[in-house]
Amino acid sequence: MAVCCNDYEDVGTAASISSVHPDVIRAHILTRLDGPTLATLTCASPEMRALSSDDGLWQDICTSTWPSTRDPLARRVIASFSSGHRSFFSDSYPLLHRWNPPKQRPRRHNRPSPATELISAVDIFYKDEVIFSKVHVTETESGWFRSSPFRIDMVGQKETVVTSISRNPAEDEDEWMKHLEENMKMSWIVMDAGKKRAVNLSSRNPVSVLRHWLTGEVLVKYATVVAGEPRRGSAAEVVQFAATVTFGAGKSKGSSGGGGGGGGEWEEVTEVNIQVEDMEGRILDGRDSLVILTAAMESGRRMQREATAKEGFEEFEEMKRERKRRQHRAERALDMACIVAGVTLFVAFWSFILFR
Amino acid sequence: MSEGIIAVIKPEMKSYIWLQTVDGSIQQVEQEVAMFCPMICREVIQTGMGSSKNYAILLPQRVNPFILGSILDYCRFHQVQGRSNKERKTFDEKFIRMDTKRLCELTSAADSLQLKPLVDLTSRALARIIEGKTPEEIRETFHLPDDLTEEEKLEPLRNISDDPRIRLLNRLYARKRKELREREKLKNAEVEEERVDERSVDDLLSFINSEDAGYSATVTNSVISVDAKGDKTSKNKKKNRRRKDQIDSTSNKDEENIPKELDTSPSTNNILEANLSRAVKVQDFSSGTFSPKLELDDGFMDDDLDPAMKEELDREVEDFARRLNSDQHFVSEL
Repeated sequence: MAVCCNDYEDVGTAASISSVHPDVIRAHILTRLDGPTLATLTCASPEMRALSSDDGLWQDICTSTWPSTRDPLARRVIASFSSGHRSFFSDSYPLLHRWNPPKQRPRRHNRPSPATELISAVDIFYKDEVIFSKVHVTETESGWFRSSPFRIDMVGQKETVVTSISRNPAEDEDEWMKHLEENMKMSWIVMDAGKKRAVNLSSRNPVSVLRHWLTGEVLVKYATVVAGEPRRGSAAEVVQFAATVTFGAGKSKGSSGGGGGGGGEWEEVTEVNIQVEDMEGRILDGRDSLVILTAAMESGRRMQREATAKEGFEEFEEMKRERKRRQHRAERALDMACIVAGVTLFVAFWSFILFR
Repeated sequence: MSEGIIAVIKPEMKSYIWLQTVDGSIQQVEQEVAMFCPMICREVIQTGMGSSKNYAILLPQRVNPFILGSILDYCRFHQVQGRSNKERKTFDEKFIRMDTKRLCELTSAADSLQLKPLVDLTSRALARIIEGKTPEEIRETFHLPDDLTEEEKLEPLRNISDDPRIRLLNRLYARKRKELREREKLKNAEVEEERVDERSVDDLLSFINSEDAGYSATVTNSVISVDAKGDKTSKNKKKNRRRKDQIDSTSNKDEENIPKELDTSPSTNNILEANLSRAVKVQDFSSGTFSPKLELDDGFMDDDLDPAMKEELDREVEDFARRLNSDQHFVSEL
């Protein structure tokens, strides 16, 4: 029962929220605010800033948004950030801006050194419930990583993750795809312990849900488009980070059939991975991807708006198609030129022989 | 036998508890209503106070009579067992409709009386008020002092807010810091070349205006401002791309700013002239780094008032921010 030493005033414009005891503010009011609101409150006054900078508050917000941050390793890395959980939230909550325009690219001598270790924290949500949550460490110094295509897998080779998603048999294929697209969300946060930065590489909502033509698996794709190499005209000028969740073709039967019908069929997740794709559809290798990722972490502009993720993906696809068309045209022009040259030579040769 | 005893007791007889607030006024409250508060309940049970006027329970400092009335209304409604949840919710919604100041007082009073349901209710209402507001609005609603430096204000919002104004302010502040650093470097370089110029103001003006260094000086409201020709318009054009209504207000703002900032400084006309000469030298040094946007008065403060200059820069950014805010209000009101 703490008694505050502020006097109350009946009349006048005395400060109001300072009359509430700070413990009450901290325990009851601030715990009810979400991340962006708390960040706004931090800018209001020195008193509010002191109260809102409490790391415990931000830790609660982070763990409720991304359960994988409860992992002790993740927590240790986040604690080393400059403002602890608050800077982590500010780095990871907004999504990467679609494409950094050319004038913001880092100069060569200012390029940050790549990370020695990447820590990925992945959370997959279905209808706002967590169905998968894992932290994984990827070392980046070995030659094997640098030369092989960049790929981080969250689910091991023979493992599957059984989820509580069951498909309504009455739904047809399209409706099921649409249902998945609307209800599944994923966040893939990559942290760099050395530079104390983090970035969310996944668009919050899927950009595409497709059924693989051969294996019949359903692939849910989340993509972010970022600037790649500064060299103009190269295939890697704009690249796309694509995180994919694969639902296996096989389904596991539900054991205890509580409630409704008999054993339902639960979907299984067989793969959760991320890759980097350039404009020609090629997967980049570890070294290049690492450079791009580090640049995105350091200087990528982050935005709150989510609607742009799907547009960005579609723009990227369009860029790919455009590039292909251009190459096609160039090749055909070259072919045409060669044919014309060959025919001309042939005609010239024979006319020379015949009309000597 | 017992029925007879009960029949003797009058059914309307209620017991009252006496409560005294900090200002000395004493009032009596029905027992069931008062016992709804854990703190009063404990006082009655442990110390036996409150049974008469002389032994009234002293309420904590934060409970004034008006707030006590509201709290008792709340207790009176909720202590009745028979009400449904829906009724209670409706009552709560109506109860909570008061201005922010009362809500805060109610929260602290409820906390000191340990009335947890009311604390939850008022905290939820305050959280709802805070959500969705910009820092400026929060400061207005809760009458908070505006004591943070610009950087502290903008740093937490750097990534989270989409507001283009915030990004603009961030960039502006970064630019000002850079200019401040360059100014420091210049100042260190020219400290050796102190020279008091005895020429009159008019001579100086004509000197500057005749020189084709791309600078022009004008006297407005007995203040000398030196602008780089052409640069000002380009700066305006840049702003034009983002917001049209800034052009008119920019020149006005600069004109207003100068007298305001000069008034707060102790400098007089002597320093005016002396520093004008220094400004002329500055332009000789490196015309590239002389920023026309920071008016001449920033040069005045170079001497020994560096923190003052920093404050001015802060104030300029603030004015800018305030203008943006008022523009925003203006635009939204259209």
